[in-house]
Amino acid sequence: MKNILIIEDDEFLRSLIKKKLLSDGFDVISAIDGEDGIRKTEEKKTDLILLDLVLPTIDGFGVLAKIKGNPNTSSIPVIILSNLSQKEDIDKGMKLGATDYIIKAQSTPEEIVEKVKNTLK
Amino acid sequence: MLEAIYQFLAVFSLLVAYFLVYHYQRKIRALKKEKAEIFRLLEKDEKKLENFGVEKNKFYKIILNFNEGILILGSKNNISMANSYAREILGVKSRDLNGMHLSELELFEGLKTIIPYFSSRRDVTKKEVRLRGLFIELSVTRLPLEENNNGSLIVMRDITKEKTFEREKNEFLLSTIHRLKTSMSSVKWLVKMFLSGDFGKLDKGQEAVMKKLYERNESVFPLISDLLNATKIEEGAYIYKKTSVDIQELVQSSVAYFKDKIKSKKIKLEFKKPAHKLPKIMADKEKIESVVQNLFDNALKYTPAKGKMSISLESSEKEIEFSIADSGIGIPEYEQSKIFSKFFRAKNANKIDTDGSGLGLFIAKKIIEDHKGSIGFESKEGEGSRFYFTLPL
Repeated sequence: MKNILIIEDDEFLRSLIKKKLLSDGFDVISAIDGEDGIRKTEEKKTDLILLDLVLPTIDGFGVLAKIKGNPNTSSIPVIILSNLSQKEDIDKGMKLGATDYIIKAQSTPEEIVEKVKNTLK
Repeated sequence: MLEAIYQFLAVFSLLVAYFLVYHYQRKIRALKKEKAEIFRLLEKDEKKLENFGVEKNKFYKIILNFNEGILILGSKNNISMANSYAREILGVKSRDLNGMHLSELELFEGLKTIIPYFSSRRDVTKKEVRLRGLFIELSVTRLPLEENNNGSLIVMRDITKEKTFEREKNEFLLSTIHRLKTSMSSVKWLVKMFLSGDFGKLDKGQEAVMKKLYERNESVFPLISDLLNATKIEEGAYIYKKTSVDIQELVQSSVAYFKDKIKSKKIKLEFKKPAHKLPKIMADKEKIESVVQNLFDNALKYTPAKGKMSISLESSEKEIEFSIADSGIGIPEYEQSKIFSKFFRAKNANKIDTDGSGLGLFIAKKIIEDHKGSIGFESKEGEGSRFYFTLPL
């Protein structure tokens, strides 16, 4: 069973994605901010991370940099899930090593789960 | 006989004498009157001069105490007057600047960057500059002095408070807009999941309602996007990424993008292509594309079915011009001056599309002008409009 870590501070969005992933046979771990998320990567084996960018305390870019900078976690694919849609943000995220960048307002839970499946193939 | 003549002469001389006295008395009276008149005028003039002096003093006092920094420079860049607010802004409150040359003023702390503006021979109008940690709105105008010399009038306004407030307002707006987007995304996802049956099977009625809700929610996203862009523009955080762009290709891909809509509205489209291949220009491709699409979208939206649209693209030595004309509702004359202002929606346009944000043209103008181009239109209500913009080569 593949383990997906969601780092997203909005509880409602988190619960919707979790529901969709669970019904598709994934195991889901939730984190409400960057620090919590990084801690959770160290606790359990994570197969993929869904990362929001606008987070309390450290912002998503900082979290991404930390994950990719740690040899224990750098190989975990990270898909950014954010509403920041400016080209600069997308470029920045991809440059920091994200596997994909999904804009929440332009995607549906189904599409997100599809992308997760495709990345883990 | 002789006696009669003497009597006659006597009477005659008396008459003459009487007449002369009368005449001269009149003259004296007139002169006295004139003298009184002259004295009165002199008194008036003196009063005027006195008042003038008082007014000049009043005026001087006003300038000295004015709520904006005022400096007057002579023709050789010596300070002939500096009011107390100016000295406060420049950080030289205790010094008397009269007669000081700009080169000496330059030596004071933090003033190096502003002196070139002061000595500028070209007028500076309301330029926002930073000075000693403050935001200053600076104007410099030529001041004619005696003997055909020119001095300068410098006005400095401390707008630090306004700038700070504006910045805080924009930050608040950006964060609120982001929260709105998040909230709307969650509605989008929830409704989609309902439609997919994730919360149980829906009957036809429920499905129809959910679909409507989904569409309604979707239609708000472009408004949020416009609002975000407009706020970023105000914030000065609108960044451009310039690359070498082929405008012709950009326009053609927009034509392709709108092809279906044009077809379904049975609109006749004419594309006047340039005679020679246009040179590429340095521009932010995404943003120029959004301008072209906005103009296209407007032309399409406000032109009734079976109408006409024509696009032309041409270049001169200095610039490229894109124009799009339609046979649509046009813009009423009394609303034309406000077309590019923020949030403005012409009444006849609003009737056709109540969802418009009024920000599209505001943003388009900002983008074109930031590329050092110009944007404009011609329009007649009920006949159509022609929008055009130019970009320098």
